[in-house]
Amino acid sequence: MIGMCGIVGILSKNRRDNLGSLVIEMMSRLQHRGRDGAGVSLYGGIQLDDEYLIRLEIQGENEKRNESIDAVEEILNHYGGIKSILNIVEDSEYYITDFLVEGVEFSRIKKLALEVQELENVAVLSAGKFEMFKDVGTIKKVDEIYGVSKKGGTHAIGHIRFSTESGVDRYHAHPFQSFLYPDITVVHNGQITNYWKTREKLEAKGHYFTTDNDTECIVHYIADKLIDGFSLEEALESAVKDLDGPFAFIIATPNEIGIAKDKLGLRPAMVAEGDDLFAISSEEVALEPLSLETEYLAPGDYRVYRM
Amino acid sequence: MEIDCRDLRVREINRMIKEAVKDGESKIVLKNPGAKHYLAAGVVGNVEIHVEGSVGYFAGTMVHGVRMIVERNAGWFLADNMTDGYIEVEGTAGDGVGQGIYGGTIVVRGNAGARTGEIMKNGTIIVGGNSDFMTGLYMMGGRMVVLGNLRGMAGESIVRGAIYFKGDVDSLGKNAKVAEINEEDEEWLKEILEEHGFPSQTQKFRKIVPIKKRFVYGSAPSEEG
Repeated sequence: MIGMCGIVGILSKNRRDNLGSLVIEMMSRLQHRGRDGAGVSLYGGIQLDDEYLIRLEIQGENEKRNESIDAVEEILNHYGGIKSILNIVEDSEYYITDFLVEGVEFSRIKKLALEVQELENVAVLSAGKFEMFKDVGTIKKVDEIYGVSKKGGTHAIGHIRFSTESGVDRYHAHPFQSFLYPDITVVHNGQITNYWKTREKLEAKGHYFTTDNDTECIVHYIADKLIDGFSLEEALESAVKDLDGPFAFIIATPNEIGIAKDKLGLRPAMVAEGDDLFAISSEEVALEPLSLETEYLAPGDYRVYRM
Repeated sequence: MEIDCRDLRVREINRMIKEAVKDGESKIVLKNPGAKHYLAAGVVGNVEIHVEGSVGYFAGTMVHGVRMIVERNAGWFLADNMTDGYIEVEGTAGDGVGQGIYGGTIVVRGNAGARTGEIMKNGTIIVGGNSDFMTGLYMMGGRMVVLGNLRGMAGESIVRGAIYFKGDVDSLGKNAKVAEINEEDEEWLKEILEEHGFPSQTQKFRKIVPIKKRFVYGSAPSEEG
C-alpha cells in the first residue's frame, strides 16, 4: 500500500560544500524503503567548460578490458579529444572509468553514447557536466565506493531502490538519463503502467532506451517536452496527464529540480522550502535534518525549484 | 517520563512505552521523534503520549485507550485500525488518516492527505483544514468533519457513516451524495467542535452520505429511504 523506493531532491541557491553529505544523510534516512540499489545525480560539483564527463562501466579481465578501453578511446577521439582518464572503481571483474572528453558539441553526445554503448562489455553510466553515482545495495555502500558525501554542489536527486519491475543491477538502478537534453536525470517511486505505449511513441521520435525499466521512459518523456520548448512546470503538468500508474518522480536539470505526483496520490511526496534551500522527499524523516517547513504534495500536483 | 528517541530504534521506543504503561505511567513525552515510523504502535492503556515533533507512518496504529498529542506533522496512515483513544496532530497529516478505525477520535489541526477515513468502521475524525482526494473511501461507519474543502471523488464507495464538510467539494465518488444537515447533526457538530477547540459555527455545514446503504458485495443494495 505504501509503495516502496525512496526519492529525495535538494537544491541550494548557492553552492554548498556539504551538499553531498546532506543528500547522503537524507537517503540514509530512507534506507528502510529498499536495499536493491541506490543512486545520486549531483550537479555543480564539477566545473566543466568545453568538456564532458563520460562515465563507463568496462567489464572483463585485464586483456579483454584493455581491448575495450582501446575501442572506447578510438570512438571518443573520433568525436573530440580525450583530456583525461580516471578509474573510479577497479574491481577484478569490471572498472568504472571516467573519460573527460573535449571538443564535442552536445548535439553529438547521444551518437557518441550510442556508439560506446554498442561496444561489447561496455556500458555508459552517464554523460554530461554532472556526476551520477549508482550501484546495487545500500546508499552507505554507494557512498563508500564513490565518496559522494565528500562532494559539494548546488543540487542533487537521489534514489533508494526496492526493485519491482526490472533487473537488480547497476544499469537498472536510478537515476536514469536522457542524452537528448543536457544533463537531465530522473529518480522515481512507483510504476508507469502505460510504459510500452509511451516508449513506442518516444522511440519513434528518436529517444534511445538503454534498459527495460519503466522509470527510463519518464526522463525521455520530460526531455522530449523540454526539447519542444515546454518549461519544466509545463512538462510535469503534461506528464501527470499522460503517464498512468502510481508514481512520484523527481527530475533534475542543470539549474532546477521538479517533482510530480500521480493523479490518485498513490505514492508519497513531501516538499520543504526555505529561503535558499529546497528539498523533496518521499517521507518527512528525510527532511528532518534540514529544519525547514514541510508540506505534503497533493495528488496530481507538481512543483519546481530553480536556482 | 521522557524518552529521547534520537538514537533509539522504534522497536526499542515502543517497548519502553509499553513497559512504562505496564508500570502505571500516566504521561510519556517522546523527545526528538524525528518522524520515525510506527511510534506508539499497539500501545494499550490509559496513558498520554506527548510527541515533541513529527511522527512518520502508522503512528498510533492499533492503539486502544491512548491519548496521543503530536506537536508537528504525521506521516501516512495515522492511527490505522485504532479501536479507542484520542490522537491529535497540530500540523498536517499524510494519506490514509484513520484508515480502518473501529473507534476513538482523531483530530488533525491542519490539512489531511488523500483517502482520509478509508474503510473506517466507527469513531470520529476531525480535519481543521482540507482533506484530499477520495476522502471517506469505502467508509463503513463513523463520522468525519472537515472544516475546509474536500478534493475529488469524496465519499467514493461510501457504505455507511457521514462526512460533514464546510467548504467546497471538487467532485463526489460513486454511491455518494450531498445532503443538508438536520438538527441532530447540528447539535452534534456544535458539541464536538467546541470540545476540540474549533469555531462551533455549524450553519454552513453539509454532509456526504451514501446513496444506497448496507451494501453487501454480491447482493443487491437496498435504498437508503
